[in-house]
Amino acid sequence: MTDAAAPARRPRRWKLALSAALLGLLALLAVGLTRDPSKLPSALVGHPMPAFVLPLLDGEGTLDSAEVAGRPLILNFWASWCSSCRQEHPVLVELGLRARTRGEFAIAGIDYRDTAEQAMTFLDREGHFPYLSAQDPNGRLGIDFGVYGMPETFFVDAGGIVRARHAGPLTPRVLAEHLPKIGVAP
Amino acid sequence: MIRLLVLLCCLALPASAQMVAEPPGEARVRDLAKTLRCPVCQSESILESRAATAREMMVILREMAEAGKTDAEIVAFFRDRYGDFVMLAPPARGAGRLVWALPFLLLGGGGLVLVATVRRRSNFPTADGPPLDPVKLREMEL
Amino acid sequence: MNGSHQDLAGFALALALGLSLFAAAQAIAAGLGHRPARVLAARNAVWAVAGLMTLAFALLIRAFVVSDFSLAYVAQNANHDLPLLYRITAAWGAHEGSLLLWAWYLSLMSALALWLHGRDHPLSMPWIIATLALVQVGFLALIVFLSNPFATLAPVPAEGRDLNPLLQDPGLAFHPPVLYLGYVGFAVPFAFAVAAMIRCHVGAEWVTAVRRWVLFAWTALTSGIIFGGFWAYYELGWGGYWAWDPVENASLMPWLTGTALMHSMMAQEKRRMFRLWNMFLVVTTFLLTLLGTFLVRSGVLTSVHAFAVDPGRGTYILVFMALAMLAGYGLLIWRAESIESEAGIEAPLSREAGFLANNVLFLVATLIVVLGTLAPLAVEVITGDKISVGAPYFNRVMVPLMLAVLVLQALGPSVPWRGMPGRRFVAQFRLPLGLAAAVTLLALALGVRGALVLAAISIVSFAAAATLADLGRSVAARRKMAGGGWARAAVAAFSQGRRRMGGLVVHLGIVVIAVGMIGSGLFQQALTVHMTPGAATRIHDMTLTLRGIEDIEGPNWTGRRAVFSVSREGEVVAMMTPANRFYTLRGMATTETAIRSELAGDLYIFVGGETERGVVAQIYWNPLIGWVWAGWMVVLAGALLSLSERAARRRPVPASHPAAEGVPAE
Repeated sequence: MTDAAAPARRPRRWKLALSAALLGLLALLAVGLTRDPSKLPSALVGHPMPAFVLPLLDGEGTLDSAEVAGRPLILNFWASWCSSCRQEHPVLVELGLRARTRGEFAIAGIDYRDTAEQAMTFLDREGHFPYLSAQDPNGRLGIDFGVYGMPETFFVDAGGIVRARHAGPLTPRVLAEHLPKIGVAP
Repeated sequence: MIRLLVLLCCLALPASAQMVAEPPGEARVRDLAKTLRCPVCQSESILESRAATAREMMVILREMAEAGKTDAEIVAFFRDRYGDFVMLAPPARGAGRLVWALPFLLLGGGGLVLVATVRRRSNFPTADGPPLDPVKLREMEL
Repeated sequence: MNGSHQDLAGFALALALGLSLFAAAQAIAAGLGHRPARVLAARNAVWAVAGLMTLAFALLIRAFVVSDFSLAYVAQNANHDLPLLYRITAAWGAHEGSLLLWAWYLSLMSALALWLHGRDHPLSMPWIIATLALVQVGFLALIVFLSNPFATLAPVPAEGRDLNPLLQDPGLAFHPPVLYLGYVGFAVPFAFAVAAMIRCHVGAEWVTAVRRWVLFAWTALTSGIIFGGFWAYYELGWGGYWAWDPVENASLMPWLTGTALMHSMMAQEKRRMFRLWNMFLVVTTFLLTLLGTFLVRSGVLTSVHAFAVDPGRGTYILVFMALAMLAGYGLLIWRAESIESEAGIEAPLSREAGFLANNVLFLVATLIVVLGTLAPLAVEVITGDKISVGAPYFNRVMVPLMLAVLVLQALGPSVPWRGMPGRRFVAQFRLPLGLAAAVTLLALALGVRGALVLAAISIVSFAAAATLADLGRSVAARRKMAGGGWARAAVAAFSQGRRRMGGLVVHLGIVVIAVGMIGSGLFQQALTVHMTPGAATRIHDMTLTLRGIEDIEGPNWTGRRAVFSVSREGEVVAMMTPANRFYTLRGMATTETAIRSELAGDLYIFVGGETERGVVAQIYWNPLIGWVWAGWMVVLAGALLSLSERAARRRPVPASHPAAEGVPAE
């Protein structure tokens, strides 16, 4: 609100303030354009990984988070109903083979909100993972991990601390970015 | 609709309709759910969202409420997993404090402008002579 | 056959773009050199653009009606099984078509503005044409180059992907077209403001000219927002109508500044005050409509309403908005000294001061909505943290602010220009204050508790009584002057004092809406129960019995519905059938709520999935919610009454004798 009382005396601070505010707004929106607002940072990064014991997808037995302690862990949430899971499938298989042959890190899958039959059909079609997958049929573990979309991959270091979370399909570039954080050569 | 009504008139009400009522803590569950943001359908609270994750969060919320957890404990549970994002009203710390202070700052600023403008202008002599008789002015204004 | 139609549409759009550029160039040349012939050329070009845009829009509707899937936009948003109504409304159901609707409106309104005001404002006209034409260029270029609804597909698919099921609702026929009418309507006042600033000619006459445009746009925006709320209420199934979603906020921003503008414009018209301020509000309101477009279409914020995300379009709209800001605010800053007001506020207890307070409140509200909506983005950019600012925040903050607006609304209309004695001011409100106190005591006696609830009740009853008293006093004064009975006086008051009476009726409508919002917001009853057929439950004074669950089928969906009987004191009063639908083509599920409305409130049922414990029923009793929609009708009636005032009666009052020429319009 400006006044007419004494135009000559009063400095026109409002002009500067208005211009600055508008420039700020435009800059903010411009930066906003470069971001995906639906991407969430993980609240787990820097904190210990939640412990879990879940039934295996294929065969008897359970997947126990305590069993893999002491080694870096890559934990991949996937589902048969998720289309980008198909996209990252070869990357995961290759990673699993590497884990099996070299043993420098562990890798496990969590079949998220899925039925065992559909998951097995998916694996029969796409190829089985060279590592174990456990079932999380109602998504409880997913909530413990703060999962919000499929697929998601957590990178946990040897001390059991979550170091990174990637939402979306894994690619060699993503691995190159996150694997060093848990002490694994990309 | 009318057909249904006619149909119903012929049908007697079941003699012993089995009454169901809401479990006691449900109102509290709903109030809490309104303040938690669904991480999947991100523009809705978990109460409104149809996403499976939100449904499961509701189940957890109910279980925690039944187990006698406090509101703060329940909110903290979800915040530990999804971060401050999950709270639809920002927590009053850090940047959140500024967001909460915003209305007061704006109202304070607006009030100052209002007072300053009215005061300054009140001192300004009017060229039009004394104000008209308010009664007369009102009648003319209609 | 189809190919030629697309070519025709593409040609029409390209020609419209060219002609808009031509109109802008001619108009600017005319404005600089005062060459009347160029104004004529520009005007004719604007008219031609209106014709071409109408043609293009008609061709888009045609493509939907005949299911022409050679157009990518049609193939993505329609289907042979889609009912005809939705095939038509699907034309603006997604980004490209809604943008075309916007541009079409703009072309019509530009033409209308030239036709209505061309003679009265010959010197401003070149700049008005130039502004409108340039805005049109901005939208048309976006359509032609980045969002062409006539882009073709090869090979042509045999079947379309169907319209988003949430949009397959009559709501789509009303909400966007009316809302956009409001958005686009603010472009005309903006053009007048730009012309006035360029010419340094910002007396009362431009305000007189655009008053109706502002009122029209405000009415359309209000209606569009209310339609949207109504649609969300029955479609989305969570018992509410306003979620403080970023896109909803985006429509509220220009509404808030538009409301401020409508009031402060009166001060300029009657008292030649707030000139610079009004310019600021006009420019801001228009730019906020652009900001809304940007927020909806750029994907900067997450929202249920957002269109498909496309950073290219986002960048374009951002640049467009930046240029419009530069023009609007740049002119404002440049011309500030020469457009400041002459008159000052003489007394704190005057209409002028009231408008000032109104403007402060509305601007604070606007800033809270703008900053609250953008805060998560700002925090993320600056600190990297992700926070949410949603409904719990806005409700907490905005409800007290809107209650303050209601108080002001109750006081304002009885305060004359230039001031009144405080004693008289207090005396005027004795009756409404007494009534408010009585209602509040009654509420207390009925067991209502909570400071905010009681404050809301007392303020709303005070505002209702004060507004009714104002209406009554106007009729009484008319009767005293002209004699005769009350009925004749009322007719005379409503037909001769249309602006004042219209304004008061709008205020009354706002009070009615507030009653509905407070009733449904603060006294809602909710129930979540698992029910098997034969089970019954109670809410408010009704018993609901689940009679059964059955399969249903529609043209492009299948579903299940629950049949409830509603009884009161043992007698069945209604059957309600909430349902779940599954749209096979899109693979999407929607829920259909069942609503039974009474004056006292709505019974609202929504059923979720079936479990082993039965269906999950969400049942709400929403007291007084129908008053929100009824209040909108009152607002509309008041606004139409005010709009119906003949132009000849709208003479500006000379500044030296405010309101001193007999019986002015207000």
